[in-house]
Amino acid sequence: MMLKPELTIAQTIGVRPVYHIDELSKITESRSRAYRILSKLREAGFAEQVREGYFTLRSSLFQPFNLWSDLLPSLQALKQARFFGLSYNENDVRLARQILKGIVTLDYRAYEITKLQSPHLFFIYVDKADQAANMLKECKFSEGTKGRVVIIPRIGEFRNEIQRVYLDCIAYGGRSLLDAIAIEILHNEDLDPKIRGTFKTEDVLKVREELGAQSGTRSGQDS
Amino acid sequence: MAPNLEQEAVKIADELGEVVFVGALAVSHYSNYRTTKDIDLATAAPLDEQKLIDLGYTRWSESKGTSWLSPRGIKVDFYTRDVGGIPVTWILDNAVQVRLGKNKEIRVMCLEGLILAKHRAARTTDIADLRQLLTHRGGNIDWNLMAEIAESLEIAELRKISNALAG
Repeated sequence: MMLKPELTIAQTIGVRPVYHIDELSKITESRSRAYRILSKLREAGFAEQVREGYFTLRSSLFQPFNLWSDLLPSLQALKQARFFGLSYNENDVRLARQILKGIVTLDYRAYEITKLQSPHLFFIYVDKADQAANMLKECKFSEGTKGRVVIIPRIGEFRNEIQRVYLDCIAYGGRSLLDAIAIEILHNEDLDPKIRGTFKTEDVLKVREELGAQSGTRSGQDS
Repeated sequence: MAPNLEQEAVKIADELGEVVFVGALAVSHYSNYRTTKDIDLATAAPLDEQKLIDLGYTRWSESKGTSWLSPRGIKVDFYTRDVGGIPVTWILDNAVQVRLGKNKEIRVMCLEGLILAKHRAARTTDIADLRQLLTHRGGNIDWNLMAEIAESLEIAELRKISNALAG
C-alpha cells in the first residue's frame, strides 16, 4: 500500500478526540475530496469512523510523512485487531499468555521494558489469527469490542523487537506515545537512528520526570 | 485503578486528610485505563510544607514546591487553587467517594470536572484520557453540574464529542 503526500493535508485539522466530516471538508475545500481522503486514511489505519459523519484519528497521523511507511505495518496490523474477553480483568491476560504463542507488543511489552505506565490491553502478534481466535474461544473467551486480549496479525518486520514495539507505540498513538518516548530514552542504542518519531516537548518532559521519579531522584529537604 | 496506586492513594489520604484525587488515578476510577506512577491531588488548605516534611515527604527536585515525593517514593503533584481553571473548592464540594476494599475510602474528582479539566488541558495524554472517558462514561455526564464550571461553547463541544463517541 502506498501513502501519498496529499494525505498530509489532514494533519492541519489539529489533534482532537473526534472530528466531523465538515471539519475535514473545510480544509480540503471540497466535500468529495474530504471523503476521498478520509477513505484513504481509514484504509491506512489512521482513521476510524465512529458514527455517521464522525471519525477519530490516531495521533500517529501527525508524525512526519517520512515516518508513515515505517508505521504502516503496525497500522495495518492494528486495523485487523480482534478483541477477546472472559473475566474482563487481569486474569484474562494471565490465561491468554498460557494459551497463545506469539510476540507481545504495546502496553504489556512496553511496561516490561520501561515500567512507565500500567498496562491495560494485551496485544499479541500471532501467525494465524483465526487459529489463535479459536484457541481462545475453546477456553470460553468471547470475541467483541471490550476484551483485554487483542490478537493482531504478524505484518512487516520483526528482526529488531525493540524497534517494532517502538513503532507500534507511535502508530497506536495516544498514551502509547509516552511509551515510545520512554523506549527512546531507555533503549536509544537499540533503535535505528534514521527511524525516529517526533514528540511534543511537554510529553518528553513528562516522561523524563516519570522515569526520574522511578529511579528515586529527590532533592531532600533543602531545595 | 492500578492496585499499588490505590494503596498509595489510601495512605496519602490517611496522612493528609481532606484531599481529592484528580488526574489519571481519577480517570482509572471511571474507566479502567493506563496510568503513570504519579498522583495528582487537590487540597483546599495552603500546602503545609513542614507537615509534609514531618510525614516523610521530600520535595521533588525540579519543582517550585507543588511536586513532592511520598515516603514510598511516589511523585505527588498538589493543586491548591484550581485544576484547569476549576476551583479547588468546587472540586472538593463535588468529589465522589470511592470505596477500596473493606473500610478504605478515597475521594476522586467528579466525572464532569475531570472531563472538563482534560478538555481544557488538551495534551496528548489528556486527549487520550478524554476519548476514553467519553466513550465509556459519556452517557453518565450531569450536564447541569457541568454548566456550573464550563463555558457554553465548551459544553456544546463536549456534548458533540460525547454524542459521537458514547452514542
